[in-house]
Amino acid sequence: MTKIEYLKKLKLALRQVKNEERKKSLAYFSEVIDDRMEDGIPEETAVSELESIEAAAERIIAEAMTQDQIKPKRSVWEIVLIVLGFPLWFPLLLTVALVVLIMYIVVWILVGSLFITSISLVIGGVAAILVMFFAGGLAPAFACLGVGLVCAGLGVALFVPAMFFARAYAPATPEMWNKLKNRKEGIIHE
Amino acid sequence: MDIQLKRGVLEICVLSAMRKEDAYGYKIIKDLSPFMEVSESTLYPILKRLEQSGCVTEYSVEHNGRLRKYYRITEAGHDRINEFLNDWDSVMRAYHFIKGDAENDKD
Repeated sequence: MTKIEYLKKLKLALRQVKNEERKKSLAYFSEVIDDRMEDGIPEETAVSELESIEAAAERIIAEAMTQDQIKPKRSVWEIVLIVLGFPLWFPLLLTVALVVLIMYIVVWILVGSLFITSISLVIGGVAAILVMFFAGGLAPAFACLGVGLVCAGLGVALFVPAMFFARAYAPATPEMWNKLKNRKEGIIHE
Repeated sequence: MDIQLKRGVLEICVLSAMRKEDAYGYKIIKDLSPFMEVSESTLYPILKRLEQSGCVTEYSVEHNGRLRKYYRITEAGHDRINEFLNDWDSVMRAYHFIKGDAENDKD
C-alpha cells in the first residue's frame, strides 16, 4: 500500500471524527511515513509496518471520544429532510456553481477584450500610418499620420492595464483548480 | 500489565524522550525502541493527551519541503516526571511488601 492509499483509507475510517482532529491525525501519520521513508525504508514497507488502519482508527476514535471530537450523528429527521429536499437544494447548488463559473469566464472575457482592443488599436494605427503614403496630398497624409500615431499610442498604453488585470487575475485559476482537486482527492497537507 | 498503569508509564517515557531536546513523532519512537515497543498509532493519542494537559507544547518546522511537528516539554511536564518518580518510591515499597507477603505465604 502506498502512503496516499493508507491516508485515504484512514480518512475514510475516521469519518465520524470532527474535521479538525481528523486533519491533525492524518497529518501526523503522513509525517511519520515521510520520516520512515527518509530513514531509508521503502514506501511499501514503511506503510505496511504501521499498525493496521482499523487499529489506528480505533485508537484515534477512542481518544477523540474522551475529548468531544466526534461529529454529532445526523438524526433520522435530518436525513429525511435532506433526501426530500433534494429537488430544492440540488438546483440551488447547481445554480450557485454555474453563477460562479460564469462570473469567472466573464472576467476573463473582459480581460481578453482589453487585449484585443489594445492589439487592434496598434494594428489600425500602423495601417493608418502606412495609408499616409497613398493619401494624395499633404494635408490628408498628415491627418493619417496623426490618427495613426494616436491609435498606436492608445493601443500600446492600453496594453499596460490589460497585462495588469491578466496578471492580477491569473493566480485565481490554479488556486481554484487546486481547491477543486483537493476536494476530489481529499488528502490534506497542512 | 494493567492498561491504566501501562498508559501512565508510557506517558512519562514519552515526556522523558523530549527532556534533552525537542522531539518529533518518529524520533520519539526510535529513542524509546530499545526500552519499549511503541507503535505510531499508540504514540499519537499520548502526544495529544500530553499536549492537552499542558505537559508539552507543539510547533511546526519546515523540513525537506514538508512540515514536521516538534514537541517541547513544559514546566508542567517536568513536574509530571518528578511526580511519577516520587510516586514510584511508594509503589516500590508496596511492591516489596506485597512480594514479601507472597513469599511468606509460600513457607
